[in-house]
Amino acid sequence: MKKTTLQIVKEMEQALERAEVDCSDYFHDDFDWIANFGCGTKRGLDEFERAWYKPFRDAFGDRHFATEHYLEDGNWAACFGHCEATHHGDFMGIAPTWKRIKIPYIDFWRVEEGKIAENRVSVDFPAILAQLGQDIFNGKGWDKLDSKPPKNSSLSFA
Amino acid sequence: MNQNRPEQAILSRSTDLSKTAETKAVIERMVDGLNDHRIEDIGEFFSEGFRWMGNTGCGTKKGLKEFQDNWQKPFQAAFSDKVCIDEARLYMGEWAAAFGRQEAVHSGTFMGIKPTGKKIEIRYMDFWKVVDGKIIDNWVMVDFPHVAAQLGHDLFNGEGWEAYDRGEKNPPQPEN
Repeated sequence: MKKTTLQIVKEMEQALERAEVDCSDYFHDDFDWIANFGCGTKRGLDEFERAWYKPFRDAFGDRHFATEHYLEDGNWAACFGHCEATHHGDFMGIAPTWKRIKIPYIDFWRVEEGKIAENRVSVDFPAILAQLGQDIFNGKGWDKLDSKPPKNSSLSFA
Repeated sequence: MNQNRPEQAILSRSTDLSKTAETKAVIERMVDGLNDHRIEDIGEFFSEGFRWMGNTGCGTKKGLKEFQDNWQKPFQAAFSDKVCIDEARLYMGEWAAAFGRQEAVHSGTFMGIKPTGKKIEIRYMDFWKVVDGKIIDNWVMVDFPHVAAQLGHDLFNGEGWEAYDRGEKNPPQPEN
């Protein structure tokens, strides 16, 4: 039976959680991974592995993906959630702290012919840095306007 | 006999698919309403106690008043001529999701950066949950670091992973 968009996406996520090295079963070779500022844009599977997947695994270990909700509409799927991981390698100049942190994300995927052709991503790098003690907004984040700032604003997805 | 039975009803387990049309109608009217720069009467689309849960730098707004006072108003104070363009929009049951960009002019102070008059894009991703005709939950990522970058400020101080994309730095390559 033909797999649904969401089945394809979920199989890919499980493979990433297992840190499966070859992702070619799930992504087209020339797929686009387009993310928010600080994360970058990876054109094709090789670039995705070299410039996202590997540095991410180098910085963060024991990754567990806690996706809160999935949604599917035609050949698009989307989800939001957070990755729980241990900061075990250098991240943006911060030496490993071995802290357990939460990394919020939103993903959108477009599937063509059984594989992911496009992946639009937001990964909250500022949340990671906040948990490691750096406020990239230098006190000017709009979370400061919140009436009762959450105990840890980086966990707003939790 | 197949020992490995596939997981069933994965899509509809927590979703009432009969609600898709209602969700779509609410979201479409809400986007039009925000594009018309409405603030005071947006309770038409959002429930009184709705939760707006943004990424770091944007914050968490609990209820309509906090959303208006601590998100919409500072946003309109910093940016004008705002047009919101969803690039993809998905609906499924009570849920909707979209990503896209707001095009706007930096006409007021933004995070300490004085108005530049530059036309910029503000990229976003949204998830909404609609119950009884109103949005009760809104998960959001707005790319404020990208906004700052367009105004000449790199909040990541050269550590952004775009340097890997451009070949300016070699990413670490773990064994596993």
